[in-house]
Amino acid sequence: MNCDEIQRQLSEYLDKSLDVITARTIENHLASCSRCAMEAYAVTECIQQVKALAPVDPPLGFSRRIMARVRELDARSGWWARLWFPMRVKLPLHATAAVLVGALAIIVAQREQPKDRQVSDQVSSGATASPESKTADQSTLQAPSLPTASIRSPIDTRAEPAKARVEPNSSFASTASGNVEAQPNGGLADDEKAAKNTPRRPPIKVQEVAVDGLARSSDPFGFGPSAGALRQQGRPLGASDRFLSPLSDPSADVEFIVRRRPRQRPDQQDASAVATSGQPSALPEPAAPPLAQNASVVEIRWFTVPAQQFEQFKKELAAEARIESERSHLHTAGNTGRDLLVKVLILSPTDR
Amino acid sequence: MVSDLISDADCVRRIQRGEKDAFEILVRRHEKTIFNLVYRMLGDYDDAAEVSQEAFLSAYRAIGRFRGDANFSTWLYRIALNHATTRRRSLNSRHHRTTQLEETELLHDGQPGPAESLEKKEMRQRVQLALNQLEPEDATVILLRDMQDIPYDEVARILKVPIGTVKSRLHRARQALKSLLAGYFYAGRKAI
Repeated sequence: MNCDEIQRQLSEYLDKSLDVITARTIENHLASCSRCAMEAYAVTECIQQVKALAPVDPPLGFSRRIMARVRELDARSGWWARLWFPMRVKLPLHATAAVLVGALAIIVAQREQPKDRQVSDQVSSGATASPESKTADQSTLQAPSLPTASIRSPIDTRAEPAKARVEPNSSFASTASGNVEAQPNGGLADDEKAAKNTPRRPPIKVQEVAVDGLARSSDPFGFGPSAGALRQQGRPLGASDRFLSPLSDPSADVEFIVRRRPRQRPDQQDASAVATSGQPSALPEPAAPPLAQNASVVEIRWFTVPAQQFEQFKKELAAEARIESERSHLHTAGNTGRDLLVKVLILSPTDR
Repeated sequence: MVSDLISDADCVRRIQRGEKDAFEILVRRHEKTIFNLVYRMLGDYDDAAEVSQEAFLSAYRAIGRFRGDANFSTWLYRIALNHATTRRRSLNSRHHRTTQLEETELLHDGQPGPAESLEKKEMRQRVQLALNQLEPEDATVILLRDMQDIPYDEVARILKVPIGTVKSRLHRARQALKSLLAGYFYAGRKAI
């Protein structure tokens, strides 16, 4: 072993971590080599001097200060720690919750998206219905792609959904005050007053339906202030709605074309109510000519009526609006014992 | 004391269960060792107090993640050395630390100086100055092995390096320290 090798292992030799043979070899070399012995002495002195460094006491109250900081940390991060610790429990819990919320958001977004699209289609088609559409010809009204809800007066179009007040339990008579259109300013307030002045009668058992089988409302007829029309704004249109024709529709058992009665003064309403209950004036008027060229369709409504109550339904309908035309497809229906699907096409009271 | 009977591992488990006061036992048990290690790494008493406190607080914050694979003291040493190394690197002015050293040695030395020879005191200051001049890794391994008398394998665990690396690093560090102090040693030997 030469001096370089000895000096390379000197550190371990002084730490006594070498095997006995190597240690003895180094010891013998140091005894005979003054240069390596001097080197060994210097390294030993270094080690001794570092060992001799006097221990220093930490400042007074060192641990107390640390514990004060620890308690301060606990107080400050208490809620945060409770939220996240122990991490092995909280992290998977939070991750699962985040995934669930995300999945729920995606599902809701996917469900809402088509609805929004349909509503925007509906609104845009309604918005394009200009006042000139009142004089739209029959072919326009028969356009199969025209959604039902878009066939309404400009006043209906302006009426905001937020103003629509749906009264599920309102009776036929209570809504039949002659206020057939929502008034932009205060129209609903007028309707409320009129409804209070009108005697209530029990509703007949008809169900307004959509053709696709979904119940539109429990409000029979809904001839009130176009609440039905406003309701339809928020209803997604089914595929069948898009193909509703305002005129002859073989899918209906019975079709009516009715004209809303003009708004009545309060003193006339009582007389009208008496007349309605007295039946004679409630009878349908003779069949009017088919839909006039310049007629403006306010709304189309569908009802299911038990066959045995059809006459009653017709009387009530006649009390609310003037029946201008009636067409029955019952011969195609076959079974007259079932509920009848009745289509009511409502015309504006002013068109003639 | 009752706290002396509780092992570090038990204290750690208690803290992890929410008994925060058990941390005080660990602080009291290790404060002097950690403070001295940091003090010799930095050579400044106030810096050492601040960095040691931060090291304990870091340990407290991270104790929830301590799994007990190593001794608590090993883990605590590692945290303290990381803090001290970071602070040491940020202290570029060695002259500043030297000046501070002279004052703190006199003020806080465990064995105050009246009876102590001026020569020994001067030598301690020179050793500290030499430690300050070493690379932080070299100073670390010297302090762990020579000052704290920690065995090679434990030093290897603290530094997370193989034992062979500890040995070679220690040899290099001692050679560097010897180079800085050689003049005094050889002068002393010749005088003898």
